[in-house]
Amino acid sequence: MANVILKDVKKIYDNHVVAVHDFNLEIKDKEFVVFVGPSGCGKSTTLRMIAGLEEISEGTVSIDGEIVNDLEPKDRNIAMVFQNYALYPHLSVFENMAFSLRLKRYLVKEPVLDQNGKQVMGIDNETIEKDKKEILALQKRAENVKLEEPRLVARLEKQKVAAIKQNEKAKTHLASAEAKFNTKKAKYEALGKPLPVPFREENVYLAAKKRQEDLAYEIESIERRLGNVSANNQKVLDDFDEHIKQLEADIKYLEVTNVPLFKTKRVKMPEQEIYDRVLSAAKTLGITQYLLRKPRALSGGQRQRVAIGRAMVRDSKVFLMDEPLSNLDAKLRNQMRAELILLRQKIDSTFVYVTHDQTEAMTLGDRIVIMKDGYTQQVGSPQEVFDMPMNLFVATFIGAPQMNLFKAELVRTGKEYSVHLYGKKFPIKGRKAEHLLELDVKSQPITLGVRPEHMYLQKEKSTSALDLKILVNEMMGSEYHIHAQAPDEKQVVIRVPSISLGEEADAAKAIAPGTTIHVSFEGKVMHLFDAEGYNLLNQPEVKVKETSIEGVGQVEIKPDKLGRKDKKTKKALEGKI
Amino acid sequence: MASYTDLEYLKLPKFRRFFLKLWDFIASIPFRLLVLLFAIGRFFRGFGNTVVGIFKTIVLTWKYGDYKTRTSYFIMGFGNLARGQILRGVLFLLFEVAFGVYMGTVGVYYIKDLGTLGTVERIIGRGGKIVEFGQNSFDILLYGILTLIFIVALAITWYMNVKQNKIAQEILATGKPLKSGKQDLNSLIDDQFHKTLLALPLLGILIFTVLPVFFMILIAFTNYDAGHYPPNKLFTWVGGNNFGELFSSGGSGFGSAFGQILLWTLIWAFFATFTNYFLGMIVAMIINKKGIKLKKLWRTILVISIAIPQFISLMYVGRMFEADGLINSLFQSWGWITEPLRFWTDPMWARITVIIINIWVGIPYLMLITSGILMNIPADLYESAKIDGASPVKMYMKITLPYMLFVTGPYLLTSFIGNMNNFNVIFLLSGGNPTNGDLYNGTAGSTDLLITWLYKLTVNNQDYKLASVIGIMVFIVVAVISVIIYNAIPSMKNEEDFQ
Amino acid sequence: MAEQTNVATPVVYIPDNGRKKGSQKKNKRIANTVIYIVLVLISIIWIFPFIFIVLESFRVDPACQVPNPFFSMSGKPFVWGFDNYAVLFTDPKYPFGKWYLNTFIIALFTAILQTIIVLCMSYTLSRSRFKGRKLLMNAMLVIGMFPGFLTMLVLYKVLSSMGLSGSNSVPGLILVYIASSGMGYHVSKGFFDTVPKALDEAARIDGANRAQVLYKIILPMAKPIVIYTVLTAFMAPWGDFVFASILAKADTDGYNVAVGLYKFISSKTTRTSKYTTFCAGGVLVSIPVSILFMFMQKYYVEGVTGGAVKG
Repeated sequence: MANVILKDVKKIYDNHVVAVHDFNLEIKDKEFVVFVGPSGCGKSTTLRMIAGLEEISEGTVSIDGEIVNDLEPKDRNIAMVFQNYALYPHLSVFENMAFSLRLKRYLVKEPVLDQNGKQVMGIDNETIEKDKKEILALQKRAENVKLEEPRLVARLEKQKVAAIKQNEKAKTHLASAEAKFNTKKAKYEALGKPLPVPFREENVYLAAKKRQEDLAYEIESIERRLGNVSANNQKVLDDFDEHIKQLEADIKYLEVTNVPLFKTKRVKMPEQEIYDRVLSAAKTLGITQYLLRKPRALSGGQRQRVAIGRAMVRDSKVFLMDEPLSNLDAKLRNQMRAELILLRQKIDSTFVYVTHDQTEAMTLGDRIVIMKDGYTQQVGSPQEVFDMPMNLFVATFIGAPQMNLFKAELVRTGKEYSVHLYGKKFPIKGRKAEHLLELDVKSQPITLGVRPEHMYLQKEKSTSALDLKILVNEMMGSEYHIHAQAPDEKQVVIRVPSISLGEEADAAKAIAPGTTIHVSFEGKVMHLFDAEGYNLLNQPEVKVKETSIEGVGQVEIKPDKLGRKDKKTKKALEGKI
Repeated sequence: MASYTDLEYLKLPKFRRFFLKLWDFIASIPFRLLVLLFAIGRFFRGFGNTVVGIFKTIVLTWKYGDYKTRTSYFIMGFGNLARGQILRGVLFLLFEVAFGVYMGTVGVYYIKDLGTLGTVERIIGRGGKIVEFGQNSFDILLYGILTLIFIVALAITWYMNVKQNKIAQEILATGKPLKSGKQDLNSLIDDQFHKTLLALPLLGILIFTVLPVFFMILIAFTNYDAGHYPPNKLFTWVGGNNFGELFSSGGSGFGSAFGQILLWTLIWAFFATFTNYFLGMIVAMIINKKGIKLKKLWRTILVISIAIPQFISLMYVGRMFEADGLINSLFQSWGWITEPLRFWTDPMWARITVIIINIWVGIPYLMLITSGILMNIPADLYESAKIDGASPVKMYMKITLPYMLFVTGPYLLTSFIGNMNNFNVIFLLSGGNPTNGDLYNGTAGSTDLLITWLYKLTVNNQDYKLASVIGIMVFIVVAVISVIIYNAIPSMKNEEDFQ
Repeated sequence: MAEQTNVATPVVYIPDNGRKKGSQKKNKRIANTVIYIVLVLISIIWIFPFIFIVLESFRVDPACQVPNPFFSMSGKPFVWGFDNYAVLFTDPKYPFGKWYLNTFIIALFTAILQTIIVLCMSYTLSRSRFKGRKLLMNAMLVIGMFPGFLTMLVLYKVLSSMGLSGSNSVPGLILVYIASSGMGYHVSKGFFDTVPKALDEAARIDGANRAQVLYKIILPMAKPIVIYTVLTAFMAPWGDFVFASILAKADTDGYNVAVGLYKFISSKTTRTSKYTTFCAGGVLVSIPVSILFMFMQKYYVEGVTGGAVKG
């Protein structure tokens, strides 16, 4: 069983920058999980924490039921493929792939034979001893867990107290920064001068605000973890108990039964075995003819395959991949993506894959984890994430072209719901309406999201069709991407299959730039997001920060001309002003 | 030997593969020699072609030349002047005149004695008064060579003059104008700018390096030493006698001394280069290690020791190891030893001490250089090895070392050669001592390099002829080593291995 | 009854992770501590000679014949004073002031002139592809393999006949240094090689001739290498022993500091009597050179790793 469980994993760097917040995930055996998100969202950092290349600041990572926080990467039984391939330049492809196999000793079970060459049957004392030792170890660990618990609780309490104190300080800072900002702003406005960019007081104020919000969230998360401590520990202790019981049963059985006896030896992997493994991996990847070449004589795609091959021969339970396709050109990337899917069927491991490309995530993953700025935004299968994005970020990140967003009104009249947009009314029927009723959602201003492919053109004007003016249209071959403009100058993208437009001449006239078109969409494709950016129908358990794009609820600090944030802003971010 | 497919090759055990490679190499030697022979042949043929071409130009230009051209064969620059190129014409003419003047006054006087380097000795009478001035072999040799060079220069300029006439005729025949003086000057800062820039430096190199080196090479074939010292004495050609002494056997002969000193020079260069290299690399690595704080502090401390002028450090540290120096005094006052340690007086001790102190001098430099390169090794190579389970030693051997050797290969070669000629370190530390009476009548010591021996022979013994011989031998050794290493190490050529 | 079981199952290789887990952190800490100890030792070893030199330069104890600062054989304590520095400038047999001045003048002129020559050489070799360029570079490589010292013999004779030796060796030395300095083009050339040719081409399209390209475009960009060359050219004459000693022979007026200081400790007698003076002289020489070096260290590393190492 090669499942990977991450509990409350956090990564804090020396300069107090939090790279990953509260990462929780249970990866099942043989599952293909993709971490996806924009640059700097913490996905690579999390992957490296699983691999052991980064220290885990808080939380636990366990592989195959064993907590691996303190284990060296080589002892975690993982294999990794890097973005830049990391092939040893002076070794041949064969040697590259055989490198790790030559380094380790392996345990081999050899049958114990009697004089005639037949396998001896008897009491398997070796395994009995091993099991007994393991029971002792488990008991000791259970003891440790029980001892740790109060200590852990005390630590968390202390953290909470410290965080609350800091929060108070941050609140006062925020108040003073806000005051300063307002007075300065008033001064500028009184003089009739435009506000400077960057506006130092504003930046300091925003930084203080961000800091305070971070701290508030911090306190929430500590409280949550405090609540979970005893439940988690209980589960762990239960697991231990179960394991111990099983071992005891095994011992009981072994003490009385004659089984074929094996001897466990520590050996180096023999050359023949290495050769076989490398050859079979090479055959699967189609690189047998390059086995004697050096990496410098290979193209990008071939190098990538060698990197994958090097990970394959180790037969490890968990396969980690850090943006492996990012360095390839577009066409090659598509090809390799398809090959990866094929490969997945041949390799019997758990995969954890990191990428910034949502297409890769959608096509490769069994489940996707979307991250932004260190926070997990949503976890789900590709279909879930596509159909039911939890917040605006996920909604706009997944799917190309990006989902169209509008500021609209959700109006509830009795038991009926409709969305009002640009003076048009779009009724909601069917399951969605039922769902809204269940959750007793009230009328409120919302952000409406509709994907470009879900919009269609209508010939006539109507109350449930938007009137948009076409700016440009892109001919993509089998479809058109129409960029149109809404009454409030917002840009909307619509995907229209070429077929639906009829003859070429008519099509050209129908969607020529400047034409007004009528665009409609059905109720069931509407995504409704509340004022904070969360999906009305799919609220997350924990409201994550940094949910939105384009300013809703987000604190953005503008750097100056040279891209620097001045010292005061930095200090405010760290709560030192 | 049978040839293998890739997969079969991989199945071969290691020693089998090694022998295969060795056999391939040996089998390729005759081929390589053939290639070399052809290359030499081609070179000579090219050379011959050029010579033939030159003669052709001279003859044909005369044949087809008009009167301006033909006159230029005798009065250089006439053709240019007659065709309106005043600047060029005047320059050529001046050169011819200068040459004539020089030859008439100085040149002829010296060149006639070049073969003998002077026959009339100076005679000093009673009371130190010079009765007869005699000839000065040194001057004869020097100015004789200068004259020869001048003659060669004239030949080249004359040829340029001829060629210009030919080109000028051809250009005029097509109706185009010739370059005026102003255009010439302009081109000197444009397309001929490289000539302008190089003129002065090359001239300096020619006069101050090439000429003296050439001169010294010739000295090796004379008997210029303390007993034949101008202006009081003459020296003359002795052909290959000095070189013959090189190969003479005999306990305290020149040849055996040379051999021993050469051996020590090579050993010293080897140790000096590689101890510094590896130790410097190790220091750079431990400073660079993740988890070590105050990296800048450690580097700065080491850098300070480079900042102090080397000769001061060397002189000072050298004196520390004297019999009455710091180290011995300290040890004696602490009661660790009763007699001073013979750092500089025992040959073996001296050699080891010199190497060790050189390590002290050299590590900071190497640390700086290797630091920079270490930081360029892609980090994910190490991470991948970490995941594969490599120990730190294995990572060093398989990742760091190959990369470093590749990048610093040329540097190691220059460093090795530099150490072979590292005058300052040896001279200022040990002075080449302890003197070894066996080495050519005690002119050299146990830690002397070829170059310091050269210095001593020159300054202390005025034995210039042997000094020149040593100089030439140093050159040969250095050249041979450079050629071998440059061609043997593929890393010097395969840049793409490491992208 | 034992049954025969033919083990036809393939051999399974299980990676052995039998090491103690959790001791890796302890190992790391031990390793780091050892490294810190080593680093401290290294720092001491590399710094203490200089501390001693400075201390010795202030030691005024003529009775003590032993060159070590703390354990004077005569049992007398350490006496401090500036006498050594004073002696440097007042002893007529060892005119340190003149040496210092000489070396300074030499260094100044060499720095300026050598930089010009080296830049001309390296820029041309880097940029222009003229016929014979490869030949020229190879020829210089070959000439460079001859020990430079050999040339001194001839040059001494020539320079002395021109009156540029002995007490007049300063201009002679300058001439010697700068004349062959063109051969040291490698580092600068390496730097110029990294400047993209597209810049040159753009300038020429804009109408500049080659001289203007060099002087308006390339040189302003070449600040690091120019500074590096100037500083290395300035610092070199302070430490040159061979050429300076040959040219000045026995005339103390013409010494540079290297030769002069050497004279302090070369013979056994002067070594003990002039030891502290030597230290004082060393300190005075080290101060400007070290300051310059520290200042230039940035350019040094850039120049060396950028140019020389890649060959």
